[in-house]
Amino acid sequence: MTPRISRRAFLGVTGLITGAAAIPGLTPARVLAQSEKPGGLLRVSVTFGLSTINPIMHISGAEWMATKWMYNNLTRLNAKREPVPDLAESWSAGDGARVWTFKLRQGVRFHHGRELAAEDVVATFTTLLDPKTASPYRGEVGPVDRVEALDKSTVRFTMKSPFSVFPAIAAVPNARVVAREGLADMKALASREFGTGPFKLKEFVPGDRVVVDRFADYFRKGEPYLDGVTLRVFPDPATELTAFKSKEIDLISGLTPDLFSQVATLAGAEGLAVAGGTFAAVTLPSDKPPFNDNRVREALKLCVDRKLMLAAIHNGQGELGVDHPVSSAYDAYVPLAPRSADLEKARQLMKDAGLANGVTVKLFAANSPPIRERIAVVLKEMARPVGFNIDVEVLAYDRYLAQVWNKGAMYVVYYATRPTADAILMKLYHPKEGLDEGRWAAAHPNAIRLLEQAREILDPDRRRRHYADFLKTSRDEGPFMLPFFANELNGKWAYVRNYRLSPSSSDMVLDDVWLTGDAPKKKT
Amino acid sequence: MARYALRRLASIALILLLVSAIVFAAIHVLPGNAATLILGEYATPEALRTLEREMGLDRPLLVQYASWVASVVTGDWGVSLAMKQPVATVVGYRLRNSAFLALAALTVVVVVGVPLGTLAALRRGRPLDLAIVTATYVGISIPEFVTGLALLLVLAGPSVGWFPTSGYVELASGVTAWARHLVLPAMTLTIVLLAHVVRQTRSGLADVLTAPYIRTARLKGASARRIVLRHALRNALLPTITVLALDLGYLMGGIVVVEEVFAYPGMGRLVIYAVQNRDVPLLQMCALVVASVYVLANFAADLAYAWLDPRIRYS
Repeated sequence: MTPRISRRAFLGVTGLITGAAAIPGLTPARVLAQSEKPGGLLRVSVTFGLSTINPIMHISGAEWMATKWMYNNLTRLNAKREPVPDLAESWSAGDGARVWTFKLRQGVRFHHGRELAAEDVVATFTTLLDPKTASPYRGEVGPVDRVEALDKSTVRFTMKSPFSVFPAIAAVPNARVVAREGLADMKALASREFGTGPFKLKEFVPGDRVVVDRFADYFRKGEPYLDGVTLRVFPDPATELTAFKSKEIDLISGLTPDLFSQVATLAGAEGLAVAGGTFAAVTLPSDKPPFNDNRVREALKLCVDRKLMLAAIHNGQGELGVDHPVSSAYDAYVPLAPRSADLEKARQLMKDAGLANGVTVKLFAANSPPIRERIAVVLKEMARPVGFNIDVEVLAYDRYLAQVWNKGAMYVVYYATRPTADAILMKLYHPKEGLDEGRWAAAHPNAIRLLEQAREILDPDRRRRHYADFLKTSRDEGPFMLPFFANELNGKWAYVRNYRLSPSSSDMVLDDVWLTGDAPKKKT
Repeated sequence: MARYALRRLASIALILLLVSAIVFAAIHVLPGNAATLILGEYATPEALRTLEREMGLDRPLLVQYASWVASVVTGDWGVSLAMKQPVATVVGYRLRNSAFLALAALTVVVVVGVPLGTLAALRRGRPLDLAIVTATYVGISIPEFVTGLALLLVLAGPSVGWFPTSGYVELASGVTAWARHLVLPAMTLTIVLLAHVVRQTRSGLADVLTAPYIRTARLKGASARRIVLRHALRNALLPTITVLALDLGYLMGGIVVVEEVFAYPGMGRLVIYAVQNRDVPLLQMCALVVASVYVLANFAADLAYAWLDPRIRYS
């Protein structure tokens, strides 16, 4: 056995304070002496969101976690965010990434007994892509034109235009493969499951908990080791922490930095941190004054002391950003020179833009998650000396969605780690495939063209060069002030073994997680 | 009496219809709808329109309301927009949980509150009275989440750990486990509600004890115990029934904070969920159920009055 924190997670994190190494009993000698043991119940906590377990329609991290246990995708992402086999054992591209052919594993069984067939994959993607389904993440699946079964175990996807990252996209939560009889009744799918995953549904109480049991016929033979998993919603973080301390909970997902430092200092507990792609950023609507002038956008970006902002808002747990959404968690990542605050230069830019006397702008922030409001408030203070008078309005999430979001205002966006750089870039910048949230595409057709070209290129190095050009443009002229990426933070007791925190923390693979003998025996 | 009951029932039906209309109007004053919240920040205008059509949210408001009333009258509570499950199932489960918690809390409140109030009345102005009144006032003055968290940290923390921190388990998995999960939230609610009952019992009893018929009883040589238990309390407790009826309504739908602290799946959290997700059918039914509990509990209290006090006649 290797130590529980992967090398990547360790290196990717600045200021990691897990203290895991200091925990008695976790020394390599002891770890090596133990091996995976079957049995036990793992209890996981989240703080919100568990309305549905319909994979085609779900949108929250807790829901993604639950369906990850009950279903499989064609592919899954490894620690380096590369696609590796899940239900598909291999895949190949044809016609310059316009055609993707997936070969399915043999002998995979659904929980209701039937064997997986290519038609199930076809039915899943057909439902997902059907505009009538209105799946929230339909746009992320890419330009799929046709899905067909070539034989019992071969599926062919034909794209409208070449799409090189499709195998990684096949791992998105909304593309979990559902048995076709399950898709016949989408309403029932909200509370029942038709999956092939390591666990099968035992109980689902919307808004409260999901309980799953080990699936004995899982295709990864011998796995899962756990007998079952319980996922519970704790609306109050203080209760969640107490439940963890009392060992009613074995694994806390989605920790705030405050709770993280408390968990990390408990004897026998570990704080896990991994660099992800989750961020909050401020849109600078570039189709109207004052931000249609890049000097004003640049001035605002120059106001921000990113290191200080990260320390103040996320306890230093993160990676500094340079105003584009691609963190080191993505394969398209390109290290660009970091940005530091330069108030002198910012003032000069404001003067050049004719705003020597300052400018008043309104910035909207939804109240959830709290990072949005914090970024708005800190930005307001940091930008004041340069002449930005930022009027921050905090509003309830539902009002934000209905009245502010994607309406061309200045507001704080928040996105969790996506499967590929293409997904988040298209979403933020592209006027058709995404929403062009900064209203920037019209004036920058060449940059948008780079994005369209990049997704067509199969060779990763060539693709990365295209992205590098785009990311530089985005940093220097782009419509977002993106100060940092927040690390994913989890907490667990040392008796939970083999758990690897993914950069998208809802990508919670529990196939080979096991519990040592000193895990509590009680079941509630 | 029967005519009175019928008249009351008719007015209750009217009240419930009004409540549903007000709630329906109120939720539509808020911006957005269930479709905006289901799609979140990945909504495209096309997907929004599709979902709105599918859920019938594109129809005129009056039509939506009328069709909702029509189906409720025929016993169809509809399907939750956000959970896609039958509203009856979702509400039924939460209602049962809330009922367990409400019953546990009310029982303790009565069993502890009435004797405490009696004691305070009998020792009026003495240190014991002062202690009881002050303690219950402190209980009602401290916000529920503080009381709840304090109990949770002390009694469910790792060092004591007598009770589970939170959640709910089915009766089927054992009465002990089920009851253990109720203790902390019920205790919190008891602390909050105790003052109502203690205060009411105390002042009611103090009043009654000065009444002429008590003096008569005393002069006839009845023991102090008999005077309090047989003669005074029966009259003094009448207003307490009203207080308990109101508390029941509150317990069945208004204890959001306690339910959140103890992650208890009851009606309070469901109401909040329905509002946040613009889940109109779910919210409508929650509101109806909670309002029904209020009006029916008050109705029951009025009937109990007449039964307990022969002097009261409804006509």
